[in-house]
Amino acid sequence: MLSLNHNLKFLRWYKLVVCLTLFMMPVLNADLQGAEKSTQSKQKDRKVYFLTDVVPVLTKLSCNSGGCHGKSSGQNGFKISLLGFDPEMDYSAIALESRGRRIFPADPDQSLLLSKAIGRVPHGGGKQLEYDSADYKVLRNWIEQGAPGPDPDAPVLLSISLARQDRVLKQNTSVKLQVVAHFTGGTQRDVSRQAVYESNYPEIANVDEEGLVTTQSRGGLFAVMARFGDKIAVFQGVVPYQTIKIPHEEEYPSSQEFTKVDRHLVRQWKKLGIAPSPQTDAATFIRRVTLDICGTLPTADEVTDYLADQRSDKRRRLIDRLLERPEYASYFALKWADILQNRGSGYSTRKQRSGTMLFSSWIRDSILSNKPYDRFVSEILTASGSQAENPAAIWYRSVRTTPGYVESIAQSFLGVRIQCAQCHHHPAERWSEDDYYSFAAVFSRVGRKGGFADAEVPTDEIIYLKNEGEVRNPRTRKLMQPRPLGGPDFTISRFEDPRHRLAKWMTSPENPFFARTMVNRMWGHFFGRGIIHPIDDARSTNPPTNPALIDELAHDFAANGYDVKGLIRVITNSYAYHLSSVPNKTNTEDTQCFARYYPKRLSAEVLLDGISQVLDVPTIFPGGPGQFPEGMRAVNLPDENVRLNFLDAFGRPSRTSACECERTDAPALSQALELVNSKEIQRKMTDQNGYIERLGTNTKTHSENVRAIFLRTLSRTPRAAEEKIAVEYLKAEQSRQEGYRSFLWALLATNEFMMNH
Amino acid sequence: MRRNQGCNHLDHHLARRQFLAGAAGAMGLGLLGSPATAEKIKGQHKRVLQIYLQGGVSQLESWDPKPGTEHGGPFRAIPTSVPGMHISELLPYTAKQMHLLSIVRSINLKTNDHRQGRLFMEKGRRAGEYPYVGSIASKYLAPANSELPGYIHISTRGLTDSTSAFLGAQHGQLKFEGVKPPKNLAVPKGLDETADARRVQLREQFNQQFRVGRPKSLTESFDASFQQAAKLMGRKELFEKAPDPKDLERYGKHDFGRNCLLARALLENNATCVKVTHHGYDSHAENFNFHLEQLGEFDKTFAMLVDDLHQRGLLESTLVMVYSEFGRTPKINVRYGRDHWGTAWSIALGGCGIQPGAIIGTTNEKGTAVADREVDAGHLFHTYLQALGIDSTNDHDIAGRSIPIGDPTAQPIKELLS
Repeated sequence: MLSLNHNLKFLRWYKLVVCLTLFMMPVLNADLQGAEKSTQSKQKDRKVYFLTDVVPVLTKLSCNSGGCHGKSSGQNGFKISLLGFDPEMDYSAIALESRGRRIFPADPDQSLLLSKAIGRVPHGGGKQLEYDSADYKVLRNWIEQGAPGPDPDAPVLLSISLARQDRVLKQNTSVKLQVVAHFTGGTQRDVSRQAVYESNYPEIANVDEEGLVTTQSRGGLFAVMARFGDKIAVFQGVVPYQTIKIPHEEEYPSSQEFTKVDRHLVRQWKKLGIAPSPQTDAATFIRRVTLDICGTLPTADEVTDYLADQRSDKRRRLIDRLLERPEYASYFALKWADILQNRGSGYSTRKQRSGTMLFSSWIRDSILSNKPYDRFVSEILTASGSQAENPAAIWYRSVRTTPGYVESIAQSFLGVRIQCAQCHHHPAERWSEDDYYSFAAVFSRVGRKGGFADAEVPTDEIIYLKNEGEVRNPRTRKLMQPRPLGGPDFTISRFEDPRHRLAKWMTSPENPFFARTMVNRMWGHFFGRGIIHPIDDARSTNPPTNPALIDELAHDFAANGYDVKGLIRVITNSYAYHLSSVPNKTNTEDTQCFARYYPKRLSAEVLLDGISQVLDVPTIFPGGPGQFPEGMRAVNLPDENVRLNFLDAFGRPSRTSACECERTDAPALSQALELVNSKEIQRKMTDQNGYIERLGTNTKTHSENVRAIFLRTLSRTPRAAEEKIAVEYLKAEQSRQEGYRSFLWALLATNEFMMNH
Repeated sequence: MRRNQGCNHLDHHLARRQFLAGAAGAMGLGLLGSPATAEKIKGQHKRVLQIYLQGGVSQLESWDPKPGTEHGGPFRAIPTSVPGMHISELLPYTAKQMHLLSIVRSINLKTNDHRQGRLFMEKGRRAGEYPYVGSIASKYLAPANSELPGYIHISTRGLTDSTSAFLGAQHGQLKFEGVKPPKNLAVPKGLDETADARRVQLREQFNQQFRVGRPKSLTESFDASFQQAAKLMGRKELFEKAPDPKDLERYGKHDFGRNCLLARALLENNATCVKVTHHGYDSHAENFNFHLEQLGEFDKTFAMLVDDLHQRGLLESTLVMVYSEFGRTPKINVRYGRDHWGTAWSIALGGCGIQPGAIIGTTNEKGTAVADREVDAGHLFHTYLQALGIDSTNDHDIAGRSIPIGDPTAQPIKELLS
């Protein structure tokens, strides 16, 4: 106590000396002095508001973080709301609880709130605040002013903005962000020091707690989020790659070559100082586009015909042809069955599988007939009735709970991960608990009857509209009105199904998420990376790498009546989709801007089907004869509950969420072991009716066979050196069959085969 | 998964695909620890044994007991084989081996988050894409002709870490789910091993073309998994032999005991870094019962393993690390638990390059803060690497980019290096 008083006295005395010294300095800039004076007096006079002054300090000091007093159980008896999203609660915790012992207006410096934070009184979290710092003064002045609570007349924070608009930054440079908060009544204030910052790509540019952005020794795109109160602003930066030489204008495609969407990419490439890779050759292209649209390898004949085709628009014609094939529908049905969680676990008998079969067929038929995407989604969302008669209702079989509806729909169709908001305001987003539960209220009257009660997942339920049903925010107990994410409240009668209103709003042009999510998903499918990435994680803090591109695609998609095939045509006919996957000197490090095609590993089903196609030995799926038609491809499996180690090893998803990230393509030891040693691959390699057996007994020369094998497997002719190696190997082998077996295996296990490139 | 700031349930629940999910029950492990083998290994390459106590072991119930103080809890401190060094009575077997080990009691990570703490402890950096200690060991210590993958993690749970950053996939962590052998380890019927070797070689030849002009990172990870597969197939006897009943008796018949026996066998067979995770220290409730049980498993097994490594002459060349992502709060909560605590906690380490029997740093009387010689994971990281003879102040030279190996703002704990 004594020493503290002493300290304070000392400080006052010290200040006086400093002031005098300043006063006596002749070269002192008069303007600066004036400015300092006015801010100092302002600080003293200005009313300190709990909401816009005190809470931001607590946030900045991480007092209300999830690891500290912000977690649901609080810390050592002091609990405030996570990241300050419940100021009423925070006020009561700080000023009222524990008989108000945390603040002491008569002598603010003695308040526990301050003495703990500066570490004068033992504090589990250690010293967080400097005595007499600016933040300290904010808290002290607030206490001195009588610790007023959240004030209904206080200025309300409307938005925050970043003063700095400069978006291209060199490597290894710094820029200070300036954050301005705008309040009701037209006032604004610099809150750069109170704001909290986070970079989405610290390897490209990191940011310190003062908002100083520092770019690193590499190029790319990054975003820095600034948060103050419940408002967020994002600074997007472009750091040009440091390349040996700046690309010449002629290294970019001419405007005759590129389509509408390519313009946006070219602009970005120029900004980053990278040139696109050249256009890929015809053989690589037919393999790429056939795999991406149909999920199959082109046959040797298809490749030969395509290479011989001399028409200038043969790529466009090929794309049109592929979109008419049933394999297109099957392949995209597989994708949607993952997203819509058409799950089979729990169905052990054939009778019970009928549900997943029905749903996957319904999806396939929808895609085959090019059902407009808005209708496709509406039919699922509003599905009612017997699942057997309306297969779309089967979605309500796998997804069975209110959180399930909310989270799956938000993620699948709106590209938003809203899970966090179930328990707390999304730390880096606009979504609150009220948003979550209002959205949940849309489904409050979804009823189910029928089915058999004991089964984990009944198969013959009827989905109907219940007369009653409500959702409350579990924390505030407030009754929630049905309201879609980011949309208006629905005012509806009890005779109307809120889901119909939801479907209408979802697919209306006012909904900013719907078309964007789909075009981003499709872009991600073809380019291996979304414009927003991950594809189903749209946040203002995870901005698109090319906003103009995604906006234009989304706008056109909606304007064209949600024509999915049309969208695929736009994407696959673009200049960018035809780029080679081999990098040039300038774009090796690019992983965000599509300046080359990013190779991707074939997905589990496509890879297995590809091996079956090459070896001409279909997979035998477990379940006994009669369950699946002979020769069926893995892509056509109705659900994930078909045991096959190959598919699991190569990343088949278990369909427990709407996230496409469940499907993985990371290499793993088990994949190598599967290819090297598994019974299934060995069976395909040794089948008496298979391709290898035919190679072993045909009368063609090794050269002829090797060329045919290359076309069939890698969709290209062998290079001279490759042909030589292969022929010499085959000649040296004693058994012709064994020779071909090893050769085929070696090709199927190459990176070139396992990837779409 | 990285940089996913969305708070997705999936991140919490989804085990990355278990590439080693095996159907067979617990198989044994080979015991090649005859003195002759040990003699051969001695003086060979340096290696690392990591025992990771997942969830955050309590320093007060292990390396830094404070009996009789406000937050000390019910357990006593016992003397160890090092005069004057006391550890918790929950570690009676380990106490007898402390002359081989040292303790750092003054760690302050400034984070109480599992993930942040774990990544900091493994990478020696608070943020960014940097390799784990194990991947660095694999890169710089593994012999070129090593018969086993460089960084093996034995764990009974699903999370797979991405550990190698820019060092390349072949230095990534290979995860074993306990002692189960991976599926498809044996060559199928009808294929002889020489044919298999030839076709793998042939694959290599047809792989060349695709590599031309492409970044290594694209192709090397698949190639690495083929190499690892070949290595493991060659050493499948490690999984096939049942463990010696006497060893099992000494180590304990629980998973951790079996996993440590496999770790010993792997180290004896020239693995470079072996990590064993012992799960379940996150004792927010019933801290004392939990630690009684958990450390009851850990103590004897760990002491036997250290003793075996010592007896076989392996300890000199093997860095042993026992660590967590953080410690536990001194304050005991209403559920008799201790919560996350990165502020003042301890680890133990020993073996290769480490001064044995030392205690570095102290906490204050009640254990609520570091009193002396504060260090964080950046310092520990430098210490581990320098103990292994890797100059952590040097740079990784990766495709023309120079990246400091250890955080340049941190230094090793010099007095701990022998």
